[in-house]
Amino acid sequence: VCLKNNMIAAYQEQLKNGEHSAQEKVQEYLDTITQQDEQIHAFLQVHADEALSRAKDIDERKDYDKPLSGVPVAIKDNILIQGKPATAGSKILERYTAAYDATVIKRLHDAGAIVIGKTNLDEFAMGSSTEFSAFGGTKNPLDTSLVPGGSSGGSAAAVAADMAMVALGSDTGGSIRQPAAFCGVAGFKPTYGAVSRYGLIALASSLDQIGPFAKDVEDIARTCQVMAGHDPYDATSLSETIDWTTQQDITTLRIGVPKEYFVEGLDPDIASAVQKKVAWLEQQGCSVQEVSLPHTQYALSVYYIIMPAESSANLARFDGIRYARLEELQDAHLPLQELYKEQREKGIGDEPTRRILLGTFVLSSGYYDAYYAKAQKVRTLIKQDFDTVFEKVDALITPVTPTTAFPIGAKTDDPLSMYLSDIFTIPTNLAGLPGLSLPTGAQDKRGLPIGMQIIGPHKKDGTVLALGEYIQSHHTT
Amino acid sequence: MSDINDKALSKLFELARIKEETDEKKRKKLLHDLGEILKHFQELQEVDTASVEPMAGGVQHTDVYRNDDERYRNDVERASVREAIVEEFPEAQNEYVKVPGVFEK
Repeated sequence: VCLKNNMIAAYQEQLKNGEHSAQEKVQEYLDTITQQDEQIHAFLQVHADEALSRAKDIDERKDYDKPLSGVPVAIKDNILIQGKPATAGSKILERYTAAYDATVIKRLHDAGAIVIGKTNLDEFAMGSSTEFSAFGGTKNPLDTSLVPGGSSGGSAAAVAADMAMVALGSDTGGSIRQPAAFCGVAGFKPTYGAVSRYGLIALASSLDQIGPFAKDVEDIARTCQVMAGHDPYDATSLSETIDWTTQQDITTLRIGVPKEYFVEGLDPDIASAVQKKVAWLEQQGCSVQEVSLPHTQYALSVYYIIMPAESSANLARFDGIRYARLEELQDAHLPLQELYKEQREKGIGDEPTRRILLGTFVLSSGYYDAYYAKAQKVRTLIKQDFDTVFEKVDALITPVTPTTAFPIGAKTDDPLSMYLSDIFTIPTNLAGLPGLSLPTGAQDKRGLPIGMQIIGPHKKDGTVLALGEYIQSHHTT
Repeated sequence: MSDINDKALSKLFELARIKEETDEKKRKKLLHDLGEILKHFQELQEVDTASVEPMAGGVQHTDVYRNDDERYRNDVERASVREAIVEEFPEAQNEYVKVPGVFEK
């Protein structure tokens, strides 16, 4: 896997000069899915017929001038596409069909994109390895004995294995950036509120954000530009516009390196790859300084209180009454409380159950102040750390993950060790900031890609992507 | 700070409307895992938050008002979405969701 420059722009040039048709391109991606996906299991559904007929339509109208004309896109299966199943990786939604299109799906369609299928995820996006999907795990295309990361592991694997040009994921605590790092592709979590979440099956509403994966930062910016903008159906979507241009002079930027991200437990190969990249940026003219985000160490605890609290409330809606009901309970004629309990016990897997119980606990009378209210306050301090640092610097550079991709099965029995794999991505969600995960080009001793993270101030997504684009196009190792 | 004991676990299952886990081994593992996670949370007690306002969300929330105008009432697309949502109800009568009796045991 390696990054490619201007993939979409180059492809659309080929469409316009007749070198390729959209149908040929879509067929090429579908063929790759047929050849690869039995092994990797990135997709839960492939929409071959619809994708080909849409490509045909685009070819016939020579409709090649839209920002995503003809681009095969894969969608995480917690984002709704009208008339298609949306399982969120859970058995409880196995029989559910989406009633409407998510706003991002509408906007991708209007921009000419072709949805090629829906990708695997940890159940309700709860996990860091895609092993917690009720429909079986996804494997890392770089080495099938390893996890692809998660929870958007299917989307990361689809882009890494050329089964989609762009893929959408959702990121609540690192679910786009961590799998991007594990699979050696770029993945971006925009500023909270930059992209509408109407039609995203909610995990934790104060943290969730939709974002893209691609092999090219320019393509990420292009996709974000299409998806972003206020949506009256999502009250948390921002009304201000964000500047997505990546053509900015980055050599005058002030870069901060937070010392709390280079601590014990971080793989030394990762630390050195990220530091090398920072040193290279300094040579290009950027000013670099060490900074401090003193409350970083508390982010994991804060996150694992707030996220389960919010998700225990969000998942209450899956009660067998409003959405799908398990087939075995359809005609069981149970009293209401029994129906709820049977449906949820049989339909929801171990990890979501654990988080629902944890969330119920931290919100319960007698514990609310000690856990939930306390976590909300420490969250304020974490955000203030970033506010203070961004008075001095324009962007932060950190590792994405403490380790590279780990073996399948290594952490499934130990929730806390699984949670720790998101330690460097969580603070960004708590503060609502944009974060880009980008391969450094370096590899660890096992030959696995090492990622780096660029974090920017609120609504400065363009700066983050410009810096990523510059690194990608000027420097290979 | 308190741990979750076996009795408290039963109460949590009840509050969460999930049928209780009865397998002893799984129950023990669940209690252990939750205990370990809660132990990790202890570190928050060392942070001084006396004068700190809680942060409830990712953006500054303002009330959003929408006029109940014709546009929304006569929106054909929204009407079809409404139909599709009703179709997804596991049990429906006319265009209403059908629920087992709330007070029946």
